[in-house]
Amino acid sequence: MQAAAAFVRELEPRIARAVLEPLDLTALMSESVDLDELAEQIDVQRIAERIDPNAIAEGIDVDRVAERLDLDAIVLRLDLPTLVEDVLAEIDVADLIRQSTGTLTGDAIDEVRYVSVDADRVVARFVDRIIRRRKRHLDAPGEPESAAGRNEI
Amino acid sequence: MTEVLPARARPFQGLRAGPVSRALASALDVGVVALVTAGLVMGWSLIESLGDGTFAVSTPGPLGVFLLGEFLLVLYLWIGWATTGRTVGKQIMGLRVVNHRGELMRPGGGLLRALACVVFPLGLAWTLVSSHNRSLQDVVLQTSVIYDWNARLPERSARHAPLETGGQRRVE
Repeated sequence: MQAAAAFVRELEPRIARAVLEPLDLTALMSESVDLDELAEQIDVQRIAERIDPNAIAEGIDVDRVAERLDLDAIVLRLDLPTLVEDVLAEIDVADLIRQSTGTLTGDAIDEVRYVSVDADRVVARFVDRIIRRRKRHLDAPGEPESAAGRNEI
Repeated sequence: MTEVLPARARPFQGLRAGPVSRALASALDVGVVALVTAGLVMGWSLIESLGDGTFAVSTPGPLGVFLLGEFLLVLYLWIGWATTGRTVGKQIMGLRVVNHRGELMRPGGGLLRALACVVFPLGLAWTLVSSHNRSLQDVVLQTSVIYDWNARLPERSARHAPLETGGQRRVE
């Protein structure tokens, strides 16, 4: 009995090959199977969820990949002068430098002005205390657009 | 273009400036004129040296240099005050000289103030004790030095222009 079973297992592939080989399976599939319909039934989302990108990434030997890269060839193929010109044109370095230095200068001058205004206040109070005056009246003529004046500081 | 002042700077804009700010601005102005004067003297020496082939600083003497500096200082202050109300020093310190209407001085007024400041600089010290932060020159010529960080110029004073009352304060 066992010998018969072994004989059948031996014959099965040969029979299948003998039956299928004459057939044009590709043509048969394209004629009889609707691949689009089949594809629609595949839940790609579910497949994607089962993929572990980290596991894949861990399996990649980045160093080995990098070693195989011919960076010189890549760099040589780049049009670096044009690339640099385009980047500089987008950034407008001159304007950037102008703005940053202008802001720095403006901030420094503002700080000097604040310090001097505070010093004005301190000196005025000191003198006023000596001559026993209560306060100064600093209302100025006109109304500059920037003024939000009080009459003392 | 509308200029936006820092919120911290707004409360004192338009008020009369105190002695420290004014002294610093004046010191800067004197420095600028001193540099220009020195440059002129050196330049003159250089031109003279071209004749005899030797370079030596031949000044017109201390008095000559002093008078040249005083003349340049008057010219410098006059131009600054009569055009923008500011000199380099006042521009840096955020100050402006205005007349009794809070407007830019007329050229004549600017010249008088410049002469008064150069001839009698001690008058500026009156700012220390003045209850209105005014120098003697300010008292006599009815001018004020105000904090004004805004680049916008005040209106030009016109001799016969009607005095606007709205928003304008006449001071003593």
